[in-house]
Amino acid sequence: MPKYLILPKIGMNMEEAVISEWLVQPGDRVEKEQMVVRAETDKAVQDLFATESGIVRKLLVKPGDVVPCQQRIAVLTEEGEDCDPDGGEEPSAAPPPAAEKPAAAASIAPAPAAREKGRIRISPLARKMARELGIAPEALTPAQPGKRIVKADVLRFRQRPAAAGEAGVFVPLSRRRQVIAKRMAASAGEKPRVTLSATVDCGELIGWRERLKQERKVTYNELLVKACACALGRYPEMNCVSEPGGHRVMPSVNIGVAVDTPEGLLVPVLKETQRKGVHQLAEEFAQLVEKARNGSLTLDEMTGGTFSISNLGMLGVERFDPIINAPECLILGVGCMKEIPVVVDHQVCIRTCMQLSLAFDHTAFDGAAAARLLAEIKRMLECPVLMLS
Amino acid sequence: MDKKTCEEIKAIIPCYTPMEALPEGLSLDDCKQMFFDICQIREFELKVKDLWRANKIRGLCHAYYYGEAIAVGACHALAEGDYITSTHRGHGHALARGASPARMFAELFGKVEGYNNGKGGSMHIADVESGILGATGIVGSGIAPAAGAALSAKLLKNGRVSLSFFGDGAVNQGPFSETMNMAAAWDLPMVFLCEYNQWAIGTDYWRVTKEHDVYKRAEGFGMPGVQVDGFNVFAVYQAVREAVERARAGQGPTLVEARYMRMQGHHVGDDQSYRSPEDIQRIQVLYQAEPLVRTRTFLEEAGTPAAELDGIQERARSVIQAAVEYADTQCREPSLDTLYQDIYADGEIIM
Amino acid sequence: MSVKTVREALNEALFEEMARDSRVIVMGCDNGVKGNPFGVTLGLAKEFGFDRVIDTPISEPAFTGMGVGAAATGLRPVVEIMFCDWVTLAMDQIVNMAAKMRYMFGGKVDMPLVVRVPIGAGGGQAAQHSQSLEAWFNHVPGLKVVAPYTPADCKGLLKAAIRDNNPVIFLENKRTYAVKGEVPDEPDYVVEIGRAALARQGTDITLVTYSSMVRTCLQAAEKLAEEGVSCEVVDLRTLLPLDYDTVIASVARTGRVVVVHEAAKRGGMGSDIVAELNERAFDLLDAPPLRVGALNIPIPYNAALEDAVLPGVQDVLDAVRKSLSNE
Repeated sequence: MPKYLILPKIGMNMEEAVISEWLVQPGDRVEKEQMVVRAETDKAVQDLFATESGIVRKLLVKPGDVVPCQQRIAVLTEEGEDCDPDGGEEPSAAPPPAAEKPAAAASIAPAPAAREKGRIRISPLARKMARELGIAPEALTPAQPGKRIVKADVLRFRQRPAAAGEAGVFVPLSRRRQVIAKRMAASAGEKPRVTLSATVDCGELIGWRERLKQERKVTYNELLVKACACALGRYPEMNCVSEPGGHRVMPSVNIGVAVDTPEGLLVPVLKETQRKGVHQLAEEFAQLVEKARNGSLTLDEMTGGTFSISNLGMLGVERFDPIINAPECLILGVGCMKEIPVVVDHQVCIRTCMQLSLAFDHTAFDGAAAARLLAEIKRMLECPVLMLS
Repeated sequence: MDKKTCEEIKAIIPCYTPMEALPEGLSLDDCKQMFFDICQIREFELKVKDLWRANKIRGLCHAYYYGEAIAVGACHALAEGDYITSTHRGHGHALARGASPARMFAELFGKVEGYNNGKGGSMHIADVESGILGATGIVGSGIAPAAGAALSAKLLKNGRVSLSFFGDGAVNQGPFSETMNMAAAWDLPMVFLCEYNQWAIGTDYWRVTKEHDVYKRAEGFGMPGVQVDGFNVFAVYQAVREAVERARAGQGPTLVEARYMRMQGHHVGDDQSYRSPEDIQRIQVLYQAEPLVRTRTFLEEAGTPAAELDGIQERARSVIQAAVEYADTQCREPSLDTLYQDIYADGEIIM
Repeated sequence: MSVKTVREALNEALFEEMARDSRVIVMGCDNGVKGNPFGVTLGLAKEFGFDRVIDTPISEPAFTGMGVGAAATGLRPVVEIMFCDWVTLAMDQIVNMAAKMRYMFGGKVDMPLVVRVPIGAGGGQAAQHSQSLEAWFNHVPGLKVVAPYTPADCKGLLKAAIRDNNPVIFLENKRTYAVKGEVPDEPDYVVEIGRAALARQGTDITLVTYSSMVRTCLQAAEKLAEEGVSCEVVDLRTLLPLDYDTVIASVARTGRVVVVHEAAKRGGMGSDIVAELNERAFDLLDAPPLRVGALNIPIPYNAALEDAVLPGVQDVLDAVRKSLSNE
């Protein structure tokens, strides 16, 4: 009896993966849990394990195929068994009409223009119109395959989104962006989000950072992480992730820090920040940034967060409303440090300050709780010594 | 002319009659005019032959020489305003009716000043103002229009008569019979004049027609028919005059058969290879019966000095000479702008 | 406006023109005593006399030639060839004389001749009594060719033809003599030769047609309207000179065209019109121009066979659908 390897689901949100390469070939013997195929999920390129043992007879998917989780990817037999050369009745991986696919017409492969012996069948009127509109006849398609291209087809083409040369260059969404888009939309749509803001006096923070820098490289990101970790330590009930029907309070404060990469936004997660020192956090974070930039973050490094920080201060942004990184319930947006006039003891003086924006999921908490958390974060940052307590 | 010659001629042209006396209504001066007309036609056609051979005239030319008696005799019997329709062999008709040789040569040279603006050529020469309703290259196709002219003359009551020239070749065309029938049935004021030269290009009439006498067909349609010596200008004149008077009096049409012989080729380039040497030998005698010779002889015998007759011939020659010179040197080629003109009436151009 | 049949309209036209101009005469078989088999010349001889309404013997070549001669010498004859098929007998006078005399003879000859040639197949008239030979006349420079359909157009165009100083071939349709329509009451209703008319306005496809096929095209257009196809029907009315301005303006609106005529498809008017559209309006065409005509078969006697040969509403529908299919 043949057995089948299936594509394992290895992440909570994983629905499919794009096959990158097979690590075994027909004839190889594989054992369950052995890594057999490399695939790209929405987070990273991963090696995936065999779900059965046996001798590989036939590979059912090939690099480039988009395969849904749980779909058969290979046929295995035991020694001596015959194999149905056609393998399972699963069709070779055809891309499902996934909801992630954007509606933009450009990603729908157009039917080739009706051709007869290399010539395009197009009416004189349509040809003239196309010429006047600067459309190459090769770009046109008839309403039905095999028919002549006519005026209506030219008009139809004209109503498509702007093509190159007319109004900019069309950029289709990459897989990464599709995921981001999906996440953002879901988060913005499903989580009732409220943003609280506070201004932080950075005077002490700056001094602390200078002192820490003398030992080893430290950025404000690590200090922010530590401050948030301490704040969440005081309000551990807010260290949670959404689940259907409620949320799960997590033991570990795992804080994701948004990183800008050429591929787009990535949020590597620093684990157990509550028990790590700033220097350790700095080291780990540097590594994560490196991996993020060259696309080698693991799934584990990108999941499990309970809180996120997005710092756009270095780009001069003063304040912004970040979107919560689902399934988390909180995110802190950090603005730039700048000298502003403040009132201290009824006197106006110049202080270096930055604005924090804490966005929270009102399903999980109310404003008061979030306000208390923000106040605690501010307290930590304005008086870093309190992080020792 | 001696008796023997006369008999030889009669053997070929049975209805040959000598020119003995002036016909009623003709004076000697009229006769001299007739002589001039005959000479003019002769000179014209001889010139045409030369010019055609010199490639100065294009297309086909069907010369009228030796048939002059018919055109001249008939046209002298017509009044001003009377209509004629002509054939492909129509130079003689036009000249006899008073057309200008100069404008005719202009037409033959394809010049704008020609009667047809250079667009008709030899076969369509038409001096419409003289009542010539054109020459047609389709055998017999002028006969029915001549009847139409007679019809209009009758309806408009303008007293005009219509005369249709046609050859023995046209006699076997259907419309000829049809037209005779209608003309007779309605007493149309017209004359059917058959120029019977016995040859239709390469076919002699008797080979394809049982009844040699054309004039007899008239009886079948209830109209009079007469046969005359086609080389005899007086005979033709007399017969046509009577027919015209009948027609003008409302007594209907007449068929006049004027029999003669085509002495040369069908057209000026025709070598007559279809005619046997014997036949050509046989007809040589007819050069003594031809109209120019006989009319001159008659005038001489009537007392006209040779010098005067020479003078008439010379005058004819110089008129023709001048005409050719005019056409050759003073006339213009039609411009391409005129291509579309006169297809439709009132200057309308339909491309 | 009064409602009249085509026959009545033609008869009226002749009455009016003969009364207006004493030079107008009518000639043809049975034109006088009987009023011709189709009744078009009924009553004329009684009114104007047998001098002007002439019963001819069966001598088409000669009486057409007589018409030519009469036209050249001051009259304005209306010659009737009873069936278009027999115009073959008169072709020499029409083609070699009437069409050409003015041009050949230095522009000096007038030819205000009208030749009426009833066309129209159907009813078992068989091969020698059913032809439409307008394509032949279209090919002869010097002629004008007119083919009206509605009673108003028949009256207006016959009057115009009689007044025209050129030889005009007048194609009346013996199968539509009984068609009724509104004819203006004005005393001198003349329709200009050379102008087409829109029998029906539309947006999706142009049907170019004339004579009895106007009726067929209108019927087809009604049917197509139910399917949501909007047909524009151009009634040419004059075939030579053909009003290409109107036709091309219509094609500019619709982008598609079908030429429909009763005459055989091969070498018919449709061929010439489509060729002209190809040259003049190529860039307006969203589909190849199509032709509908009779099959290239002598018209058979048997009813079903005859029906199969002659074009009908279904043929027009098929052509329109083919054009719209973009195949």
